[in-house]
Amino acid sequence: MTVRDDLSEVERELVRERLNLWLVGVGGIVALLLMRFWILQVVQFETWTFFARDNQVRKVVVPAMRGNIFDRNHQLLADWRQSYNVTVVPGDVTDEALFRLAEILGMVPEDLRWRMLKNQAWSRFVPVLVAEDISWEELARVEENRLSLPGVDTEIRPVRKYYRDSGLFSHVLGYLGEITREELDDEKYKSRGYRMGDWVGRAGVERMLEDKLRGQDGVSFRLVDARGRQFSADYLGERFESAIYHDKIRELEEMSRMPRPGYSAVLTLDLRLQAAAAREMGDHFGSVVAVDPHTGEILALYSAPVYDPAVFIGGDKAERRAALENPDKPLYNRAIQGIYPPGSIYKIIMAAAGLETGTITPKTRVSCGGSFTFGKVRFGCWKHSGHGAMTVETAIMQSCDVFFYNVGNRLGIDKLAEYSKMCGLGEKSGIDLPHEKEGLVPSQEWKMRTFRQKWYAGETISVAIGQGALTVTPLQLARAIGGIASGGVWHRPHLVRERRDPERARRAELNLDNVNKVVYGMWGVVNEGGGTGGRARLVGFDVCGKTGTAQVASLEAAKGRSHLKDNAWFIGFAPKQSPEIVVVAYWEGGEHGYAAAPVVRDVIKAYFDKKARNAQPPPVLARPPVLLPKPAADIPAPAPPAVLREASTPAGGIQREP
Amino acid sequence: MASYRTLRDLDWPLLTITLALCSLGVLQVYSATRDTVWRDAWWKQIIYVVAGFIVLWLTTKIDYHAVLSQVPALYGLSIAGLIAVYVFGVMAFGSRRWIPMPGGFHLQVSEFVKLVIILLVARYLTELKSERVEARDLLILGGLVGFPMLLVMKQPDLGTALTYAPALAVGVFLAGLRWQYIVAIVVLCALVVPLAWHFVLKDYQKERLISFADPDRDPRGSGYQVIQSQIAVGSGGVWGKGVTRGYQTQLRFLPVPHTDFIFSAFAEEHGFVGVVVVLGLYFLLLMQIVQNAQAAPDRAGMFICMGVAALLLFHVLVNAGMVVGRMPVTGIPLPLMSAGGSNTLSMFMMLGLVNNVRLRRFVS
Repeated sequence: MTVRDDLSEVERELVRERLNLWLVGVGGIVALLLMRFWILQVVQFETWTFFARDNQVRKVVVPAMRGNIFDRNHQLLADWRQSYNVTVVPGDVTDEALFRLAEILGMVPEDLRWRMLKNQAWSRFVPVLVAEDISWEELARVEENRLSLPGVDTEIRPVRKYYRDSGLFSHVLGYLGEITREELDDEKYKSRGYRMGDWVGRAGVERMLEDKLRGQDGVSFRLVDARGRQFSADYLGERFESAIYHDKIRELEEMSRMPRPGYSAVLTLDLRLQAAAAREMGDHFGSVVAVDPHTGEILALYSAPVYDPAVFIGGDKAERRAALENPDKPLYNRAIQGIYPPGSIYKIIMAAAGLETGTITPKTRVSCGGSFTFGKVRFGCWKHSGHGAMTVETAIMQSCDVFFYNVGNRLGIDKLAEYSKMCGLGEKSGIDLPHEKEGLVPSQEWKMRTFRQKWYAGETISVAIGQGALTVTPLQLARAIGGIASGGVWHRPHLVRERRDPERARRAELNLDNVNKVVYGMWGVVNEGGGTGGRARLVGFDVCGKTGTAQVASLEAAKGRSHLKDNAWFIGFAPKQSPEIVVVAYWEGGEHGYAAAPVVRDVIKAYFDKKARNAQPPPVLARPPVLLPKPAADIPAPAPPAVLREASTPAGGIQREP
Repeated sequence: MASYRTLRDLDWPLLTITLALCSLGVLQVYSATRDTVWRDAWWKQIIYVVAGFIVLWLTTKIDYHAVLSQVPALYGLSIAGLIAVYVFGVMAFGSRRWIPMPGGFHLQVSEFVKLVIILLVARYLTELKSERVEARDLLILGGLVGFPMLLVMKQPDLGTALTYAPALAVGVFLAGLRWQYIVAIVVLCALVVPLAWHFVLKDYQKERLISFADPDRDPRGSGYQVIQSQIAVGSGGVWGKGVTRGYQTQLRFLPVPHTDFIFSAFAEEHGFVGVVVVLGLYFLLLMQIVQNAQAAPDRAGMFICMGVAALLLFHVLVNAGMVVGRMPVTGIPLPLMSAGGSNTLSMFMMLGLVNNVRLRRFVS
């Protein structure tokens, strides 16, 4: 081996030069590294601290309780109950524990394991929901066996509960549905903080008052490690003596926010009136609406068949589908979505229109010979032998068709349309329920627009007795007749208590003499010997009413459904002067208007019974309006998680319930 | 003969710096692993460090000239060892690097090959006929270093394979490689890299490189380590969060916080101040080695010292660069601080070589 120790001068110089270069390189590298650390640790310190917190803190949503719903007398219609769920941490649970849990819950162990694995999150240490809504007994057994069930935990969630689960209020209250993926993408929901698994009002009051009933979910923060394992007290005790973790957890508690429960809603409905309507309707399909014409407050709103709103929350898919696909359409709110020809009840509007326009006077007499001939067409009266000489009063009383054929013929379709619209037909009443239908008031302009055809005067004749193209909803009819009977004020019907707003009422200067004539006619319907609605008579009360028949058979017969019977209408109000309650009943297949009369009678009876019982005016008027925030004190919060126990100042300046 | 081999003549500043770095390392290993399956790593590391100092002392005993004369044998042994890894090696983390040894230890042959490479380069460059390194020498030396490099790359362990290059690079640079050649090599590398991308690199290696370039692309996958490491470093701030109080480390967001990512854990718990201290210590260590190189009695001594310096610098640069997201994740440990027996012992052997050179500076 030859080791060249004799470095020449040139070589020495070269080495020295290169070594210096190398040193410059080293200095440069160290400087660059230091610079990078400076940027990360000093310049961007806050950013990285934010990320670090984001890493270690898991946000847990504490669901808010949905507001309660009461009837006008503060009878509970809907509140919430506690649903007990079981969660499992796959990384902590043992086979034995799973087996035991399955035994307690009455499940097959393999099913339970499969459920756990199927729903497993990104880490084995994130809890997985394995059983929902277990019974109280099951919960008790899980808690009892806590020590032999490592990795198993229970949680409590508030779930909507409806009372009167016969479905008495189903169409008013509506139902809830789980939010869909599409809706979550929608800015409308996203901006209001909806999350996967949230419930949204789908129909009825639940839908209309969604924003108020919903409340605001709380959040709590948990310290987790990289595998998502949550730090609990025992986990800490075993692993960390250091107080800093306790400090950290205290800090997280301070960031947490309690849920704010939703506002409760007080409805204008009266449980007793609703029950009376349902009782009288029995198994029949149809609807009943009771309105206070002074205010527009809805006292009863019943549609049959009913459904059970709980099916949409706790029920399984099959039940839900059954409700949705039922040919009887139980989800359909017949009181505001059913559109039918008003039949003879329309004669009230005709009479008012005739008197108001001067087309007829209270003295005008028309002789009914059983039919009316227009051009070559003969229009029959329901009483083929004819009613003889009729005034407006007796024509209402006996529901004479010929009298009103004449009135309609003289008025013309556009006058009919004008007065119909004055009473609120052909447009939404503005009730605070979704999916209301408008019905249809035909006119010359309407026919031209829709069919590109001229209106034939002969068509007016059928409209005059509430048939033809004219259609209304039961609610519209109640509002229209109630408005006439109270002298020309049509309030917006509503279910949720509100300040009376006279501005929003529709008014017409009706001649009181004319109104009285019509009312007397209706009084006669119920109380006179020849009246068609004698079944609605209520001794001691001046019930006024009118029968009607919606001829569906003639329309549907063509489709081979001749077995369908005509539908019965009855409208009634009381008392005669300044009525306090208007009730309309629509009875599918009732054939004759008088069939529906007892329903109306009983609802009115229920109203006056109650009034007699509490001599003073109902609490409605004395109470502050609309929505009362439910006092937080009487809400047992759904087992606030341990970390929230000491929470004091809410983060983000959001006001929390004390 | 023993007169120049006294304890007093050892490079005490160098040993002090080494001890300081090792102590910080052990402390950090302890802090980062106390609740994990690696909780025994800190005292094992102490054993390795103590063993390291003994090895260092032993390394100074044999004259480096004698070692240099055995280079062909050592080289042959290295190649044989690397091939043995294929035969007896155990798989871990998707690569075959370790040979199981009696007593539960695992020997990482490629770590010790680093030493042989340094000696090989030193010996070859010392025996040059000409005054400067010529193209022919470059090719031969490149081939000699390239072969074990290839073997290690096939394990696959790209990181360790790359550590063979700096000794060679610094060696030929100091041996007077012409600037034309340097430029040519740089150009050649630029051409080879795309080819290597397609034909040499494994998918997981590509993944790492991609995630290095764009860590946000897959934050839960390959980019995860890079992001978590930066979060740890950045959230450490100026003063750090204190020993055992780095949440990124303690809550296990940081991958392997006692080996490859020990510097992130350290930076989180000790802040920028701690980083300045550690990088300062490495700088001083390098200076000390370079000083020994300058004072070396012959070219061979100088090349050995500079080979060690180059390797140390490369390790620090790549590891610290990785920790701050400026270098790809290649699995290169931080010398003297990262837990691990093979890398600690081989580092101490190299420092032993430096001392070996130092002890013989007054002879000749």
